[in-house]
Amino acid sequence: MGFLKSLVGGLVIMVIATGLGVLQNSVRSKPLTLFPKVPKKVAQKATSPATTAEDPVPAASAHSETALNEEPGSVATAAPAEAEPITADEYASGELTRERLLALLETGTITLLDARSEHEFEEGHLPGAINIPYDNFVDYYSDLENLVPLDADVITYCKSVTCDLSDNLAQELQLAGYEKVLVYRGGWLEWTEADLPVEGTE
Amino acid sequence: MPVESTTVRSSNPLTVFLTSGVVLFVLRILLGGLFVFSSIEKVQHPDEFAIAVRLYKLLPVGLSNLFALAVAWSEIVAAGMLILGIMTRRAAGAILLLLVMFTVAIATTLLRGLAIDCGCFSNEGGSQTGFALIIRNLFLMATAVILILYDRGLWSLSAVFSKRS
Repeated sequence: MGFLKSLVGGLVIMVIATGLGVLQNSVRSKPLTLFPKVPKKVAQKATSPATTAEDPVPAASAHSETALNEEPGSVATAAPAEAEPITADEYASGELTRERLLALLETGTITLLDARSEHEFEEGHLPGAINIPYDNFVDYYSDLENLVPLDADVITYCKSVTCDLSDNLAQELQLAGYEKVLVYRGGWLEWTEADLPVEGTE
Repeated sequence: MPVESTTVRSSNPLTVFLTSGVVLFVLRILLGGLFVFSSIEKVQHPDEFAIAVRLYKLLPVGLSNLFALAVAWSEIVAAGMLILGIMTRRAAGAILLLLVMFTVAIATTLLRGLAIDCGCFSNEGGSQTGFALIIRNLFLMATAVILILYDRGLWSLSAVFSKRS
């Protein structure tokens, strides 16, 4: 039998095997969606980056009024939640400004996820953030719902407006069934340029 | 002269060794075993393997799940056929196609400067993509090519059935 014929035969085997896989998938208790819909708000990069460092003063003064809870994971505080909950418009846009993130962090109703590497996270991160490095997302996947409740308001961020780890992580979360996922596009750089509180070793 | 060249090739000790029935059988079992081992977790958890596929950013996200299923099942079916000796040359052909695809994908991560889990064996915390993986895959590809060219089906199910008939 010729070499080419073996390759064609191999291709036929792969097609049949794929058919078997699709069949077996359909009888699984939790079948994989064969053609997952990619949520548009994450798929398309925002046309205008969220608040650039145009006016860091109001946010900085807002932060001095209240202390942010430092407990990782949940940023729940006993303080009354004055900030307006996330609006439908914000959900639709898929992103959140720094001022809104700051206000929401104080309400303790959101889960903040740092999509950068463990190393960068340890050096410094936003208060209360949980580290889920996008590049190692598979390692976190099996235990994800213990780490982040499925119905949580999730905000992801990475280094700055130009990084895409936060978008990628948000997309994976949505594919995993999370419905309320937003991206804080300014990220670590915008936050630290505004002299807002951080946690970490540096 | 074609006749002369054939004689020269078949008297090459390496070729004689590599094309002996027992060596081909061992290569078949090794390559098949490796792929069965690498595919079990992918078949059990295609959702996790799909995440590894998306990390490569080579395919539209909408196709990543189907692709993950296709690769996982192609691996396990072709590897199983290789071990049992069912249409071994075609099975080796499927393995070769998969290896070419994996190697190209890994090479693109190097060119793009992506440092990601390769998703080769287990879904979690496997080895990172790198040059060593490409070298390893080249050896595996050579094994598949040898099987395609020379396998005569020693100790294979196909041979058992053809003898009976």
